Amino acid sequence: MWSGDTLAQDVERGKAVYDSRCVICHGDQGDGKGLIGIVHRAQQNGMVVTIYPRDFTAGVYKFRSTPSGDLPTDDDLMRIVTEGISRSGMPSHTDISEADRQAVIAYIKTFSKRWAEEEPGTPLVIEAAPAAVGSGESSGRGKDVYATMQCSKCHGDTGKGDGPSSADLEDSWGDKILPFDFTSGPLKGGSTPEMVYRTFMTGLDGTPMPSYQDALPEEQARWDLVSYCLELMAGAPGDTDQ
Amino acid sequence: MVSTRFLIVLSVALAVGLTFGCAGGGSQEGGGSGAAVSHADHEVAPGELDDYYGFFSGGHSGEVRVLGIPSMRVLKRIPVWNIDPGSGWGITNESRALLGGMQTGDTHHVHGSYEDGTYDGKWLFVNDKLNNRMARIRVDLMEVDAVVNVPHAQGAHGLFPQRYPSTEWVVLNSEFRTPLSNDGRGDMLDASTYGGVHTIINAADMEIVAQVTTPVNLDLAATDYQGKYSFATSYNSEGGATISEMLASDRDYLVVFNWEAIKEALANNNYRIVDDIKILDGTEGTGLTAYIPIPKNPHGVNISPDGNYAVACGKVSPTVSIIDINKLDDLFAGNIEPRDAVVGEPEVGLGPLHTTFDGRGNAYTSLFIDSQEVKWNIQKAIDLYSNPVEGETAVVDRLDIHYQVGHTMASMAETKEADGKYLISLNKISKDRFLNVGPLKPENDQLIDISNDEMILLKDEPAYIEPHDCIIVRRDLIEPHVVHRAVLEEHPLAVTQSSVERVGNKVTARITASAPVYGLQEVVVNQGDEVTFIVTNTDEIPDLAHGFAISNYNVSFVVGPFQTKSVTITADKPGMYWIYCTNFCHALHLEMRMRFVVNPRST
Repeated sequence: MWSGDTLAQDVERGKAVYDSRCVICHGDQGDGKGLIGIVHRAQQNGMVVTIYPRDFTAGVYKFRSTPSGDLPTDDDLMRIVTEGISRSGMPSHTDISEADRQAVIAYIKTFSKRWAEEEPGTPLVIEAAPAAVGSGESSGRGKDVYATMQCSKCHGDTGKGDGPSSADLEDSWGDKILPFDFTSGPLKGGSTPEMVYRTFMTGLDGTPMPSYQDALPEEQARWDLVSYCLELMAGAPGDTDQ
Repeated sequence: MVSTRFLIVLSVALAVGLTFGCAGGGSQEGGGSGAAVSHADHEVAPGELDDYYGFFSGGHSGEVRVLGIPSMRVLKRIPVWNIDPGSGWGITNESRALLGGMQTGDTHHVHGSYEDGTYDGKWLFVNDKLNNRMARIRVDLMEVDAVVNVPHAQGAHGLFPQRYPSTEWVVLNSEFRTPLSNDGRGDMLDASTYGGVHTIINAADMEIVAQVTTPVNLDLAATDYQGKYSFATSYNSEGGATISEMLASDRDYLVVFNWEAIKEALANNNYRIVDDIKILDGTEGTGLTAYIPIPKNPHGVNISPDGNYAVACGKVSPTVSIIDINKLDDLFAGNIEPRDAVVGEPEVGLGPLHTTFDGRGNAYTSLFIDSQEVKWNIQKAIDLYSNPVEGETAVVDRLDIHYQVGHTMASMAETKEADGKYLISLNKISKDRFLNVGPLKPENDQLIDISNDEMILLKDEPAYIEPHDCIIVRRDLIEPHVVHRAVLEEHPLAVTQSSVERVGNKVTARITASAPVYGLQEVVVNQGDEVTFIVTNTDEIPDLAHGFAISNYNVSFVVGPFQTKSVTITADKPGMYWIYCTNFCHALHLEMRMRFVVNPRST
């Protein structure tokens, strides 16, 4: 994306942005152990936080357009830095310039060797959602896909994230992680049909959420599953369980 | 030194003696230990939860309060007709739209929505006697979600929801007689043209179904347990405009409204339309109403949990009137005279205001002038009315309260499931019961154990102005309906991605709040811009609220988990202003700030 000279300048500028905006969570080593990362792990009573800041040293990213196991594209990183991640603590950064955002991405890459050794993956091509998505029929079929793919093992029969495995899940860093409760509303990876589809295909690297690109090859079944998940999200009643 | 210590010991002993002295005098009739000691059975230890929710109106504080019963711990204050910077009520765009610019009010009665004679845990309704409105509170959030303005009414006072088969209608009485279309035309001092209205409101869409006009004023309200009748006491049958005129007659009315006849009149278009409201004529003889004469300037009307009796308190008369609801069909059919529906009228004491029930056949009436709760047996009162026996009384027990009780309410007493465990005496005057806090003292809500033959005073609870009435609802009817966080998408403007957008001089800043950061670190605008801040709390922790306060811009509100609130201001002061989180949210809460920069208008 950038030439050598610009990159060096970007890294320097990116460090300044990082130290201003990012270091408090992601840490000066980029390992996700900034002060807030440490506080959130230490606080195990009362306000218990279950989502921790990304560790950039591993070069593993949840929200990508690229296949499971691949590095994200610069566009992926730019999207997350710009928009933030809803419901995760990652804020938006539309209030700084695009050049600053580009610079901080260049700096973030310095934390992992992967960026020197590998190329980003090729983005998956996701067509616009078929018209049937969101229909009762599609959602009805999607419910069967949800069962066949054993989504309920983690996400539970009613999508509340309370499946039999839900209590003992860990991410790649050994931190406890909770499966998503669909009835609680929007997804971190985005809630449009295409974004939900993307999450099924890419998986969430570093978490127990796998890619279903191979396991679920049939296009219609994928979109049916999207329909069912959207139905679970739309039904969202208020949460009466603590 | 010795003498000083002696004096302290003596004064403590005197103070203790005085306390027990007051409480010991509790019972004048029927015994009653009246001991003002806490009973271990009723203690709610730290970490334990109460058995009942108490929903209290807050009078002219404009709010509704949620208490735990029996601990009497105040769990929440729900702002209704007021400004509450603690939550942002009256400050946010959403609440201002509901309040319509009127940020004072007077909540007298809070009642829940019903299904088959007991609470369904869906809504609470509360009146505004001051600005003549009714608000609906969602039980799941315990926040106001709808307001209906009631024209043609002043002193919108007695309020009661339909109890059977479920709450489709809520009735609201206007206590003050007024000209119907109060637009300044005609002789406004001619009180003979005034009337009262019994307003029927649809609970689900919060619109006025109709208003039934009466020549008299309409005070407290009640509904029956069959979906057939609603009730209003009237203390101004005289149509007076001064206190002397209003007290001229020895009897006024219990007014009964016949719902079948009202529905028929509506179906037959037997109404006129005034200011877009259907107006039904409820004067005597129209078949819509019955006027039962009862003594004197009556106040509260309450229905026994078995649905058989309406009990109206005499206020100026030391009596309560028992009206047999099962005789009302005959009354409307013309088979009996109005007074034939009165089946009991026992003397209970001075200043009877309100009555509540234990579900075991006993009634408890508050006595304002006597400062007492009086327990009496309904059947015995009815028996003695038709067959008086010298020296016999329906009164079972009396308990001194402290002081001047207004409303009184027993646990679940406004349902068919009255359980006779606790009684609350909402006393207007606390006098010497608490440390002196100056001329404006707290009121005193007293908790009384009514599970035995004798009433036992358990607890004094100081209360800020002015808990007027309450209901006490079993925990299992409410708790399953209450959520820990809102549904994020329910607010059409919910923010999941922060951004700033400008259209002309209108700027919209959409901001997430997730401890300890806002979704933006700065918002830059120009002097004179109209700036709307929309803030969504996207924190995953279900007990974590965030504040949003703009320094020097008089903006402060709080957003609960997954809630969205907005505010619109004119950026009229140039400079840099810190926006900060007011509601402690994180170890780094103090750093949860962002900058609001207003560039000066170029000259």
